[in-house]
Amino acid sequence: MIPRSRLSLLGLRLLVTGVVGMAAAYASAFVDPPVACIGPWLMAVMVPLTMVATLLLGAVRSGRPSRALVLAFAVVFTIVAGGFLLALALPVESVDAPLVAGLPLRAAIILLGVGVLPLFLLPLVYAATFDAVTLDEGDLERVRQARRVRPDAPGQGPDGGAAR
Amino acid sequence: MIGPLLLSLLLQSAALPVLRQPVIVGVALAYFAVVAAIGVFASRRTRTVDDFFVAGRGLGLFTLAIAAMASTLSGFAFIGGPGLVYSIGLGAVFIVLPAALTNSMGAWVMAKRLRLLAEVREMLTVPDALAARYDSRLVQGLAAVAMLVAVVGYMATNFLALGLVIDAIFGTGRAPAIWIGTAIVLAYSVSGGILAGIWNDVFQGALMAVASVLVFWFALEAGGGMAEISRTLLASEPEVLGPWGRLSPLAALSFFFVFGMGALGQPHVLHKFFMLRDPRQLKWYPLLMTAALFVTLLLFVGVGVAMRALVASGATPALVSPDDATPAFLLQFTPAPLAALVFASVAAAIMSTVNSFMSIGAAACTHDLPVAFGRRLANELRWGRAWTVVLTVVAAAVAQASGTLVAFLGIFGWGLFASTLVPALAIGLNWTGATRAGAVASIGTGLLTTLSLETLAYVKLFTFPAGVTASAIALVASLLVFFIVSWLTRATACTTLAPDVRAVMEV
Repeated sequence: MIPRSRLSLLGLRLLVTGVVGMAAAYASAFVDPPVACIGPWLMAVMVPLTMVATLLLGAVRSGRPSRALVLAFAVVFTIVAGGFLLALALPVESVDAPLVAGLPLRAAIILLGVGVLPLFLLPLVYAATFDAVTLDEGDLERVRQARRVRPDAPGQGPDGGAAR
Repeated sequence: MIGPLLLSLLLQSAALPVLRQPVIVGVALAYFAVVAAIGVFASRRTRTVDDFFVAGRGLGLFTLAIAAMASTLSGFAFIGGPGLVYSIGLGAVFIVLPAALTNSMGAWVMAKRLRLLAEVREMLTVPDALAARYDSRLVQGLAAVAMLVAVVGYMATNFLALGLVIDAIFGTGRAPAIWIGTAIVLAYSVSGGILAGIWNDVFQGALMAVASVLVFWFALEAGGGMAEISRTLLASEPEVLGPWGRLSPLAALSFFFVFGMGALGQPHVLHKFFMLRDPRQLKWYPLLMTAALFVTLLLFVGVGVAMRALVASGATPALVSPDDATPAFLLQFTPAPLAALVFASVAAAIMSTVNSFMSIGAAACTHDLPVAFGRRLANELRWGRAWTVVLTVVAAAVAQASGTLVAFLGIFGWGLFASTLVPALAIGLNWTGATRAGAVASIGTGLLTTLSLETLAYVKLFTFPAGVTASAIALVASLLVFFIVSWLTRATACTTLAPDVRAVMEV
């Protein structure tokens, strides 16, 4: 079991890295080649990194097993980022190039690799780990308890917090 | 060249081919009759403001998933999307490709937190969640303003699209068609509120899924199978089946980012999480939602690619407009009843989306803005109905203007939701270090950046380099501002977090 604070911090750092990386990728489009050429490569890594980091931030919980989640997220990142990078790196197919599931190789990587392969992986991991990691009856009871102990009129914030 | 084409296809603003055939007209009439019947039935069950805005918090999992799918997909998935695939190839698929991740992201990052917030606080709207998270009426009011701006634009574009479909089927002319479509959606939304919308979503979502699977099968048949379609395109237009289509890699990846990350900030989907009866039912939500979206999006990819190959092989003449891809395919290559079913599905997709926006817009005016000003209204149900009518009439009037005004308002809807809600809500509900100042700054940045950049681009005062979009820049900017301002004001992070909200964030 990896402590949540470490994983949350990792998720947050990866998320910030991903957003800064995307900002750099967009900035590169405003300058001339060869600098402009790095934009798509940066985006190919930073977009999936941002999304997987967000997943990590939202999914891991203190005191709950997280190895399955971390492994699943790592696999998804590898598939998506790897698919984008392959599509960027591979040469254009010739007319008589062999097809993969009826598609040219690079199209198959994008449609079937990035689009279909992770499609049911994450939902199945979500369902499989739901009771142990995401939400059980004890969690619900704790939240309902928090409602019961909440003062009727919670403190007003500096700008007039919404007390209802 | 790609820019204006993308705009017209994304907004579905071009007229459709004439579809006046007895079978199509008959099925369309039957469809509208069912929608009306559901509306009447729902209106009898709508007695409180909870019923009107959050369906009495009584939805089951299946209903939630199908309703979320139906309101996610507008008519774009059936007309504009295939047209976009037809014209720019696989680059268009990057709009729907993130679905492989977004449903699970939505479940882990948003669904549980929002649903649990509804356990500890009264949650009618998405800005309610922001108010609870940051204990701030300012955050709630700012989010409501951003949502209102986006909602009117979205509704106008959807009313225009609905008018085009009704005009194509019944030949009423565009202007009357817009008002007819508006009146139908308005009737069931005002009387039955979100409850009528949800029940119609389930009916409409099922219709969309069935139609999509059947049309995909016919598309593969007509093209001679996927391999034959690929061979035809590789020989004539290989760039269509390139991984980025006719887009640059940066543009395609920008689509993936904006439509992937941005999915966490779409209030018409997030709002539905408040309505789930039992939070533990979320266990199967991503699987159901993913399966529903997957089958419904088959048409999006299949028709566009197949029509391109059919045109390239000479099996059918070149299309006058890319938007004709679906109607032309249906009229030439599918049986009339299936074509009729799909046209009804297009109307279904548009109506289910616009109903959700009506509810969100009305809630912003009836609930969020008055609460933000410290004056909650006494009879929110009655005001909710009144604001639904007002916003709908305004949006329909804007739709009548057609062309540039609708295009301008419609273009930034998704991006505005994303840039204003993703940092403060999606990240903020999962990071205790987020601060009220960070949320205010990021919502303000998203609102101003999206509006100013889209305006500059629209009036052609500034042109972005290929692949860079205002929506993507606004989302990146609002995320960066959120992190920076939250870090600068980190000492205040704990003071804005109420104990019950902290409990929700720790679960």
